[in-house]
Amino acid sequence: MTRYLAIASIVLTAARMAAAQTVRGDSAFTDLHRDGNGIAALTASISTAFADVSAASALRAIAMSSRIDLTFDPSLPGLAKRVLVSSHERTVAAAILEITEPSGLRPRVSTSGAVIIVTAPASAKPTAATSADSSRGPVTLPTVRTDALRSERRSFESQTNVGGVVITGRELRVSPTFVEPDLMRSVQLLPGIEARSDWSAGFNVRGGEGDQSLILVDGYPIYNPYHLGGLFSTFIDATVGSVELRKGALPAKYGGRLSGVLDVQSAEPMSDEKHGSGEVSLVSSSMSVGETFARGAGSWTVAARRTYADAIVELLTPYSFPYHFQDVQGHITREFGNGVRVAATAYDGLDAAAGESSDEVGGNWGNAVVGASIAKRLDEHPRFGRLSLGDSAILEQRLSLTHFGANADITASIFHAHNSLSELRAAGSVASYRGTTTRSLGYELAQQRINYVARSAYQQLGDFIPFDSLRQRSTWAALYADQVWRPIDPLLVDIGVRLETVPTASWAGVSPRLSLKYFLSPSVAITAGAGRYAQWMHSLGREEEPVQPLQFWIASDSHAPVSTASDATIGLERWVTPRRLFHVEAFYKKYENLLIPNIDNDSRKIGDELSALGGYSYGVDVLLRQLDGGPFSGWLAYSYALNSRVGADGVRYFPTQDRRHNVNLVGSWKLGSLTLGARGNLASGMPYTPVIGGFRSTRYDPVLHRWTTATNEELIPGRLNSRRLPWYTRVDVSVNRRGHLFGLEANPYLSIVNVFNAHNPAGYLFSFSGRPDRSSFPNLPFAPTFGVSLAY
Amino acid sequence: MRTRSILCAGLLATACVDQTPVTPTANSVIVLAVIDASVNDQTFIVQTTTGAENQQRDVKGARVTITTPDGRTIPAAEVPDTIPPRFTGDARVINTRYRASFASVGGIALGGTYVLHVVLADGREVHGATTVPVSATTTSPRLPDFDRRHDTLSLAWPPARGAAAYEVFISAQTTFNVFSDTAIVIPGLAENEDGNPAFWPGLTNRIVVNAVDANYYDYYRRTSDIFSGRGLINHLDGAIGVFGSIAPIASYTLVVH
Repeated sequence: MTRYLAIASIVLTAARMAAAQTVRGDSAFTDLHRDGNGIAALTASISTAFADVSAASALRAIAMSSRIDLTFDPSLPGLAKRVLVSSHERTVAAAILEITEPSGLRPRVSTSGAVIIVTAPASAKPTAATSADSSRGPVTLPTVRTDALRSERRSFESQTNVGGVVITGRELRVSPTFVEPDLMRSVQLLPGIEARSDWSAGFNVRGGEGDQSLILVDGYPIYNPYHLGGLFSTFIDATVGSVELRKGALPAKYGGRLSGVLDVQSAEPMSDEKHGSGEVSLVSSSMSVGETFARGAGSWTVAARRTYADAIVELLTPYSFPYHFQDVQGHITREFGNGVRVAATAYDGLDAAAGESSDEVGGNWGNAVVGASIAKRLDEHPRFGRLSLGDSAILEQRLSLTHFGANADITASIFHAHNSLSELRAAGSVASYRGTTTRSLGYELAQQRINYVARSAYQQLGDFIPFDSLRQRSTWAALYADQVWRPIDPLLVDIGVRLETVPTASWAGVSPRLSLKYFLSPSVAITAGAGRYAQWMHSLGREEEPVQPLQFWIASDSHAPVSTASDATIGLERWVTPRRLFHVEAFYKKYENLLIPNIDNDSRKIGDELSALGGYSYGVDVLLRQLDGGPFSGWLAYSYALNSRVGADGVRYFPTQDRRHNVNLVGSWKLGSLTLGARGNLASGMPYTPVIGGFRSTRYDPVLHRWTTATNEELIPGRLNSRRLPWYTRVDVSVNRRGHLFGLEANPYLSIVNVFNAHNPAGYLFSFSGRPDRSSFPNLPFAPTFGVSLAY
Repeated sequence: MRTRSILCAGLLATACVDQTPVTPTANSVIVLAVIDASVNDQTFIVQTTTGAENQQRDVKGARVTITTPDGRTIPAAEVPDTIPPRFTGDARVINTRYRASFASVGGIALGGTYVLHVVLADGREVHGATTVPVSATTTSPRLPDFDRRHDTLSLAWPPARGAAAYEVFISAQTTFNVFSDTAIVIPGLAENEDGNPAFWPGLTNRIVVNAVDANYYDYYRRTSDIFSGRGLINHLDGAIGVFGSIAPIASYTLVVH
């Protein structure tokens, strides 16, 4: 078990060794040379230093940072040798040889770039492997080829993956950044994903509203993962291991949202030496540290981030800047020899603002998530009574507590806002594996407490923070069943059903799910999927506002029905080369009882916060992706989508997120110690409501019984969303240099957003006093930012 | 007004802002009419606009009538109005208003429904209806002197049938108003949307509480969204504005320090 774990721990994706193992002749492997044997990944430059670490740790670190497939038997004696290598530029191949040669080891490489470490022969002898007596020493494995697949390729081969994109945290960082790397902003560059404006880190999936995507951290929900009014997400870049984005045909284990799921998995360290990183940007500083323990059976990471503008302003000036945000995140895993695995994740974040007098102005908001899981793997044909659980099974139980809270007070305006949402969720599943068939049965049970109050004497603030007052206690439960199997060899089927109930909304429903993948060849597949979904948590944010400081959530109840939707998807996925893939997918979605914030909401009434409408979306997403592992990586994404809504009054309109065309070209080039990044975006304009005039409205004075002279400007709107903003263009560039500073790996970066300073309006502000004009509320202008990331 | 200006300025503060002249195309009628049950004479505003605020004009020659709950029609006469005094340069501004007197019908009937009909000279028509809340006027004791730095104003009153909400209106150097249910607490340092204090120190502040109907409440509880212009709730047919009603509940005087 330990050997399996040790091998698996240095393979860059979790390989299913039993399923993937094939026996081949030794002619597939040749000795590795310093020139990398012509393999691009092995000729890439690396500068990592190793200070008194084991050869095994050093090799793992090289494999991780270079993303190469590297395998060895951890019992090889040479792997325990301590190595000392100073920091200097060399190829990955040379770095491996630096470790193996003094350690009596011999690296061999296959034509596909997989590297295997064996014992260096004492004398020339045939390298064809023979079975070795493991009790006498090292075991040579060249006769065994482990197909250690990239996560994306493994997903292609083993999952229907309809509407899904798997991407690592590392690949999300290839694009130029605004201030600092941000997961959510990188997700916005994928096909089928729209952002309301450059000021928002949130996103819309295939024309859905912004609250229709479920965001998970290691499978635990988080409700408002944004800082600074949506400008940044709460994910600390160093903690992101991989991201799975699902845009449709959601598997049965996901529920509660109509459009998508973003499941962010924490990065897990692979080295038994403590490693960490830090980052300093224009806005914040962050650091992370982690290591494995118990001989690789466990791992832990801790990360933290804080802005420092408030400290610097107070230090250097007589003024104060009373705002900051901070995040802390931790993740721990432990596998035990009896097949038990436990894991826990915790996150806490805060935005805090205060005025000059904290008695008069103040606010804070933030998320907290705590989740734990325990899983037990049952091998050897487990049974539950007389019921067979297949060849093996995994039982898992999860428990999480999610909390979001926001408070703001401005005494002079009699403004008070308070929102708190707490969700306690228990979930469990049993997954049974038999051959190529996987059956899952699971449940979810959740209780939510929601309090929302917002009021002010200033009506305009209600556009951004809706005025209302309500208190809710909501519960929901779900049971799901899912089966993935191959009825015939080229056909992979994932069929499932989800039974859901929201007793506090007097609703219960059945949501069937189906997705198919038919392999035309090992690298080409046609996909199709369909499903039905329900959503009972709704945001009070209005899509037409280009800036939404916060999302406030309320639950469906007797006044607000549960929203439902159906979708259908068909697509084609083709692996052009082992690192290049092409994916095209067409979709159609239909919405019923779609709840959006009621613009006429009366804060003194309960039940009118949301209004229901119907609608549909359809379109096509295209993705051509070059995975990393070579000098160039990136993707070309194109989306076409048409979104339509119809209100209770029968009026049909295009919602604000109806962006018809969106092209994103993202690329990263490694040139020695430099990495150049670029991103180009061309998109058609989003709809907006034109304002056709203004007038001055007057107040009646009941004290003097006459009309006052005080007037306020009111606007006269045109037809809802009847015009479109101009086409959006933007080019971002970045440069990152790998170097060293005081013995640490230091990567300074410079990033320029909107390098040509294209004027892209996010909306318009109209004025009809004096000379009538329209001012554009801009998206991000030319914005150079810089920072440095450190690693040790 | 200050809030909208601050919001607009804040939202535009980050970068170069493109400004493009636009041609208003609203061509709308504006009617502001409130039935005030505490007086017999009611004054209404009828205006037109192209959408440019400097083209917002009082309408002359319109026919404005109010139909009472018992079916009688009261005409509103076109009158010049110079109160309160306003000037454009040296010239005093004379507004055109429409004034209807209900003295001949015994004043305003609480609980009654009144129907507004406006016909402009160009043929455009406006219709509206309001039902006056039924309020019981309470005695209004003198309030203790008020130190705005330390005190809060707490008021409560009985509910009124037909009221959509209640308006507390404070009048001194400037005015302050807020909607509430049957009780309210106003901090001494509260300010109106222009940043002026709700309670003016050194002055006697007059406070009235009125029950308001749904038309009045809906129109004045919302303002138009700064981006889309949507949000103003209008119950008139043929015009933008309000035809609502208010009924008195209480009035106070408050000496503020």
